[in-house]
Amino acid sequence: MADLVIPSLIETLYMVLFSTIFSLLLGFPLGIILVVSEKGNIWEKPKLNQILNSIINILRSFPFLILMIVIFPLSTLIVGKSIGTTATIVPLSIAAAPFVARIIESSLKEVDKGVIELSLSMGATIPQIITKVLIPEAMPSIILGITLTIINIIGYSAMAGAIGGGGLGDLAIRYGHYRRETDVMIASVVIIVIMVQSIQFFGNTLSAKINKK
Amino acid sequence: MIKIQNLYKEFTNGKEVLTAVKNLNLNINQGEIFGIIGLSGAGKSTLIRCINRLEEPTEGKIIIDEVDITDLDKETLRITRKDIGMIFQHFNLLSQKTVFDNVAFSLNLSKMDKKKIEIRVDQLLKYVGLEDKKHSYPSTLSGGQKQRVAIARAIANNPKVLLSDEGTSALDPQTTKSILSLLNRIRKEMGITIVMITHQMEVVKEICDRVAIMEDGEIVEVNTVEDLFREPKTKTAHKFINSMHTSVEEEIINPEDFKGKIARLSFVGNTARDPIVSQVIRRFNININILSGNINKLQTSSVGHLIVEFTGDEEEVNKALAYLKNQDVTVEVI
Repeated sequence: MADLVIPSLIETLYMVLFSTIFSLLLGFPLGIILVVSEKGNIWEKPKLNQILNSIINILRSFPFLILMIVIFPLSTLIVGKSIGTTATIVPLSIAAAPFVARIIESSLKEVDKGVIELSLSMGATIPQIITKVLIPEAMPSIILGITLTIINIIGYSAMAGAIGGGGLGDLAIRYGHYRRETDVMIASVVIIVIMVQSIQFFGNTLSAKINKK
Repeated sequence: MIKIQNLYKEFTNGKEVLTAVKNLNLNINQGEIFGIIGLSGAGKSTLIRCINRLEEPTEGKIIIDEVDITDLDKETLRITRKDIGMIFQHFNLLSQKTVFDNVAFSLNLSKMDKKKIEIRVDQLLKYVGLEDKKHSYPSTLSGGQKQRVAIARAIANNPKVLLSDEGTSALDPQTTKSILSLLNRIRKEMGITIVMITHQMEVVKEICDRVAIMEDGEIVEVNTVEDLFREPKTKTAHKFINSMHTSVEEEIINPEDFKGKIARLSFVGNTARDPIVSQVIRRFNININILSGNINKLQTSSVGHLIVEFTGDEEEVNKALAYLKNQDVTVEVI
């Protein structure tokens, strides 16, 4: 069984790792812009804010499976094919990016308005406020948000498995469900549970450790 | 040093327009500690935030050191703000940074050399008495210590002006005193002009040279603290002085309950230290009965108030009153 489970585990880890990285690259800046462009904030751009909000809401309301199918052509364009583990990273990243944007947005909004005001009173530039105040002050909360994102991506990646994405989800469906090999099913699920548990534990610990508040 | 001319600040909330600051004029001198006192909602916080344009004035001019702040573009304003330090009621420290990094904040923003920052921050921490807290985080500090960190941070760039937005309001009386004396030392040793917003008369009494009283977005009285305590011109000022627990008894005195003439005597500066009452008793054939009294220690001098009853020959009493007036005592017959 190990020769079935281990390659699938590696596929899952590979999908989750890269999807997390790409969704952060896409979603993190979006989240920052969402916050700073809001009315009354340091880079007030109400129109832009409104447009971004709509895009994010639309993307988030797509059921993941539909989004994945819609994005097939884009996957083909980027990685040359629409099926397989690498190809799945594209829809996973795009599905998770708006989620990341919202997570980052809510983390940054927790930052005390007073310290932003203070930074302004000291003559900080907007990039300085973002990098030296907003992000560091929100870091413990951002880490919890990233933890949540990774866990969400693990969930999505299992679904992606069902339509040719590979990984543990794929294994659980093909062997566990279709071939009724219950032990493979249980093994896949247990591994996913352990992954989720340990990531949550690690995220909580790290967040608590760096939080000086 | 700071000239505020015809300043207006309006907030619009839908159709409603709220005027927080109305046609306000004020001159604050170089090196003075200027207090602005008012009840909450008087517009004092809006006013101080207009000085560094954290709040954009609707109309009017604010001139600091010959520079019209209201006229600056965003970038010049940003750089000019480095010359205006500010402290806040809730300290606004960066919770994820150590005391050292908090104090170094403005220096880091100016991209100062790391070694120079280290030297400057150590010097500042020593100045505010927190050398041993260098590596602590704000959450482990007391309120007074937090405000000291905030003050060190505010003066790190050697600003010309320090604004305090209710800087002592969240502190207990003891800590308030120690923070005020730190501010006073900063003014004396660094010549920084300090503008403080407060609702506490105790703060004004303790360190301000002059004070403006604000009500409904307007300044109703500007006075030296000495004169304010001796002869407040407005009712609001009276109320603030009375709000200090020491003079509560005055309210209770009803002149009709006494046979003699009741008067309120105010002594300032040296007259507060002279034995004037006993001089008067010796000089004139009258009796003086002290009904209530207090002495307020101010920044440069002290102001004493006495409520007394004069009994004896009417003519003698009048002579005594005239004598007192001659001695620089403010006499107010009740």
